[in-house]
Amino acid sequence: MRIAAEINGRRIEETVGPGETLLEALRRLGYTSVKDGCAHGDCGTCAVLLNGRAVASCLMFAGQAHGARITTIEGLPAEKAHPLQQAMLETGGVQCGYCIPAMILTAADLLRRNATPTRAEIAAYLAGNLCRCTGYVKQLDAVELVVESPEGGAHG
Amino acid sequence: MTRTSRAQISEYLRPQSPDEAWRLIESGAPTRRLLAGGTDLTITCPPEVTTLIDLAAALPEDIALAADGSIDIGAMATFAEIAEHPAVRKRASGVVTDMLGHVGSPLLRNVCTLGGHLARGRLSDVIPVMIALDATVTIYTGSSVTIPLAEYYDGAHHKAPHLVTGIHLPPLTSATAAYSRFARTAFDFPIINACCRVDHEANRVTEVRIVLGATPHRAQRARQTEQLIRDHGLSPTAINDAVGLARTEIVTGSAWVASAEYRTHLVGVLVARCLQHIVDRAVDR
Repeated sequence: MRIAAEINGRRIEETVGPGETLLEALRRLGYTSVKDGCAHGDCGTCAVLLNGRAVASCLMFAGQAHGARITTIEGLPAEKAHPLQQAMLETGGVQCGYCIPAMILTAADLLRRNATPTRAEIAAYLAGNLCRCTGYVKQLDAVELVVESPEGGAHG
Repeated sequence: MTRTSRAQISEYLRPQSPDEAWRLIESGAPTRRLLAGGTDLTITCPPEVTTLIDLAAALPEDIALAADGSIDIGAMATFAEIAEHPAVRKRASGVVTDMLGHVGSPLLRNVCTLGGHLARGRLSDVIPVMIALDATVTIYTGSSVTIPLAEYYDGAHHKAPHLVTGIHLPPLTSATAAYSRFARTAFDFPIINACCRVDHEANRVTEVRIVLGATPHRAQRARQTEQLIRDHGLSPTAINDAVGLARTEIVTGSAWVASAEYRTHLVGVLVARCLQHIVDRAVDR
């Protein structure tokens, strides 16, 4: 079956399987920042932005993305780090890095709708993004760093 | 263990109206399955399913506050959209928003739909809260019919082919409600949950709903306990008596990681928490 969508600002038309998940389709199309962690909606490493909302792409069929706007971490400007990426580096929020693309996208979704979240609100919104390395403190620090920057959280 | 497979799915249909979707599903063919949010079907798709019927373009997704104070929620509204809606946040001290914050993670709540969840109908956080708010559900089987949500699971409607098209929350005045759940982990299905609603008028209790879910049977109202609170209010003695009475009238079972005895104990714990929470909220006002 054919679907038309916008991925990272580029309009695409692709053939997907009727039973294929969005995660499987994106990885097959080369968007390998979208990680296949648990494929059951538990780990959050497959998160992408669908029409601006962070979703677990393993829990959707690719057909459901027909007509949608999808953003993966590849969609962020390559020439300069996004403030959330830079903050992750500055706070030491990145260790193995496997969870980071999804975590940045989920944080960006939060900041787009709430530019001044509290630490508790940040933790609650990232609750579905598991990290087996860091213990989360540095990553919460990173999002807070962006919120407290001169531009505030307007980096969603 | 349920067998799951997506490899055999060979057809994906996008009906544009409830009637078109209904005609695709009315035969009850086990090879066809309705697709709402997809969070359940992607991981529990039975191997006999070969056709998905995507309801995104067929069913409403809007949330509307009517002039009389009632709220209509379209079947395809996501949990996140419902939780964030200003009218929902205000309804019965925000109990729906509080409850939805316990369902999965934001990555699921941005996808899960109310209609898909109600049609699934088991181990639910949502159902007891909606019953406590006197919700009605509209289903479509060639024509629309609206029934109390509590009856939806009792009758033949839920077992026969049908579409859930929306839910209606009637207006409430001076209602305070609270939700509590118990689960192995924050993301897990509830072992048991409870929602209590108390309506006040001039410091007098006028209406009560006490609903237990994940018992693990269908959600149950604790009607004798409701009457006790109506008669005696929310005094510490009445709450203590309500705990014991709720434990005797709610039928629990042994399944899904907990025994009936354990669930019965938790019934009292959660009813006490909810009623005390309502007392505390009343004091806050």
